[in-house]
Amino acid sequence: MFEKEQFISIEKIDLMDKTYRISTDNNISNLLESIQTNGLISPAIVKKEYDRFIIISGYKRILAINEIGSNKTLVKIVKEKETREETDFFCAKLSIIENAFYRELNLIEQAKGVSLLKKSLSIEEISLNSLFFFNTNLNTKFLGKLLKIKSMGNSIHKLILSKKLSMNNAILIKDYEPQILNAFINIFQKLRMGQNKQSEIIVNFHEIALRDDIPLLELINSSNVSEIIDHENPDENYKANLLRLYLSKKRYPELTKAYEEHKKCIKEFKLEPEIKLDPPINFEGEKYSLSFEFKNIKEFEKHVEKLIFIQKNNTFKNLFK
Amino acid sequence: MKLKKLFADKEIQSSEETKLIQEKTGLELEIVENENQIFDWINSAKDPVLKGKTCLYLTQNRGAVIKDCPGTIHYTCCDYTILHTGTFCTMDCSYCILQAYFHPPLLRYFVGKEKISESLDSIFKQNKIFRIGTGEYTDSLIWEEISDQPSFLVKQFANQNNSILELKTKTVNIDSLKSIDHNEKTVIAWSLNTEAVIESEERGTSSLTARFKAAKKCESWGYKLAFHFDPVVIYDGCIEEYKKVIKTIFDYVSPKNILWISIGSFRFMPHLKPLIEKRFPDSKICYGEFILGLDNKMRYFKPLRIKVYKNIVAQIKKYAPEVTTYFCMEDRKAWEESFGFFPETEGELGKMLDQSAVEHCKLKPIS
Repeated sequence: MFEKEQFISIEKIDLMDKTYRISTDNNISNLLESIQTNGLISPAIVKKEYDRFIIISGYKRILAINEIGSNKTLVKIVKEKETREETDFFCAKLSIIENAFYRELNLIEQAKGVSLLKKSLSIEEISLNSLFFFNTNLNTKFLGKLLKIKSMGNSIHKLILSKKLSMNNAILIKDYEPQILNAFINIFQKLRMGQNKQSEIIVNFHEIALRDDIPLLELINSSNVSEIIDHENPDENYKANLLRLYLSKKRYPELTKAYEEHKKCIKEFKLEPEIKLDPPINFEGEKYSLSFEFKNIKEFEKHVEKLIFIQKNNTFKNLFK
Repeated sequence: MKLKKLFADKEIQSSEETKLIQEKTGLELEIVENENQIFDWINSAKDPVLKGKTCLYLTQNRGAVIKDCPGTIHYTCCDYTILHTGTFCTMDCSYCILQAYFHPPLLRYFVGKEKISESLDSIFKQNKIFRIGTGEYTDSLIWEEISDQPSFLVKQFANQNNSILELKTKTVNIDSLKSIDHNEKTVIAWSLNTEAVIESEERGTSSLTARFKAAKKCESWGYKLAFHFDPVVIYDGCIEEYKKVIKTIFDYVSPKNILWISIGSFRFMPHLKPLIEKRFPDSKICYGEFILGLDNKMRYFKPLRIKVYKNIVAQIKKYAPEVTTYFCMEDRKAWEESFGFFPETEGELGKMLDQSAVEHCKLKPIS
């Protein structure tokens, strides 16, 4: 599996080659301190490539040792297999396993791992052996998604890692041209929102542009959208909701109007917040829904009295026309 | 869509129907040992839907020949009966549910007139009116060019008195129907839409004018007619365009020969949307104001549907007040606001249509 552990010159290690780099964490300060205090506990794994070495596992360890100023480091050198393909596959496995059995991999790290294995295995084979490679079961659909996000740029990867963009939504925007992609990235960097709201925003932008024959970029960069994104209120959730409402109104003008009118009517009745009167879902069915909460008989009577009172109100009657 | 391949099951390779279809298509007959061979071949295509339209599979109907129309409880159904003679279509409409309905999408012709005859005989013996159509899982008249199925069915229905056959189409394939003694038991029906919708959404169908001309011909041959505005598509200016289409109907044919006109707005299972977006990237049909209906299909927001319906119904009533007009799968509010009444009790709409069939086609159920 490995040749005898040996010291090699740092100079001979190609620090630019990140073929087998899985980890997305670039912070070496803790590692640096540990090596300075305790020395290198576990040597990095490298592969000989002509007259140089490339790192299979332990990229940060090598960087830390380099930072300390040491000229040499102890490494494990991978033994060449019969074919280059076999060696590459072995290195790919090692690079993933070394990380995945030490800590949980994030999505981008999993994506890098799948991408490495894909050179030697089919998606089905990776899925079948995922527990062995990734220390967790991954189905083929999920692996397919990982491969899609792997092909996306660093800025998308950063958004995914910071949980500002879900994997599904990254895939939703992945085929847009770079300018549009950047416009979406700008929005999601500035506004925090859940996955469903995010996909609703993407889909609404897309469909409004197609429906109205407006270039998508123009729509995203429109003054109305910019005003919301750059709103003085620093609350990202608040701004995200504003954007969502703006787009919903534009995409579904009549439906939004109907809900607004219903809300206006209800407001007129001055109902207590414990009483809820909802229209049929999407105004499609015939059934309205009324519910209220009460703590005691007094509150119950108060709500019933109020409901009997509004029953005579013309606005209330008009709700059902 | 031009047919490029002709497949057949081994057991029907020598049947007269198979031979006729082979002769008319001019294609070499490929015998299929296992239908999965065709399915795999279609599914391997970049656009399986399109591929499925270019190859015809002659097989036997191993299920029911006669089926009830699959309505839902939330919207009023017309209690139609389906005669299952084939599946899929050679035309390519963006909104067509058949794209997502069959797995894989495949043009299938059911060889076996005897089975159809037997099934129809049991219908013809009943003391009940039947409105039967072949246009649910396919277009009724795409088969006219390559088989004698439509004329066979017309003849079958000519010899009985309790059922009408409705051949629903977007084609003008009517030539073989000319000299048949149909005994007024067959209704030729056209699916109609505005010029704009036909142009943008209905690939490979006949033009509106061609459909009207064909209707006029069929009328002159004594056939009764029907028209279906389904799907009604809502877009800017659509109301005026639908009104124009309605006016044009009566430039070509007489209201007295029209059994019914149906109206239904565009509705679709949510999983059809990505397919339309992929296969018809220029189509805007999915981007209307749709909501999830009670039957889990996407439908236009109700006030929008009703606004268009009211105008369509008023225009039909203007030119043909006596023609039976109805909604396909609509609810009380749509009916009441557009027609001023609602066929509330179960089977009421069906009876209304039966009545029109009795009056126009001289039906006399066996007593």
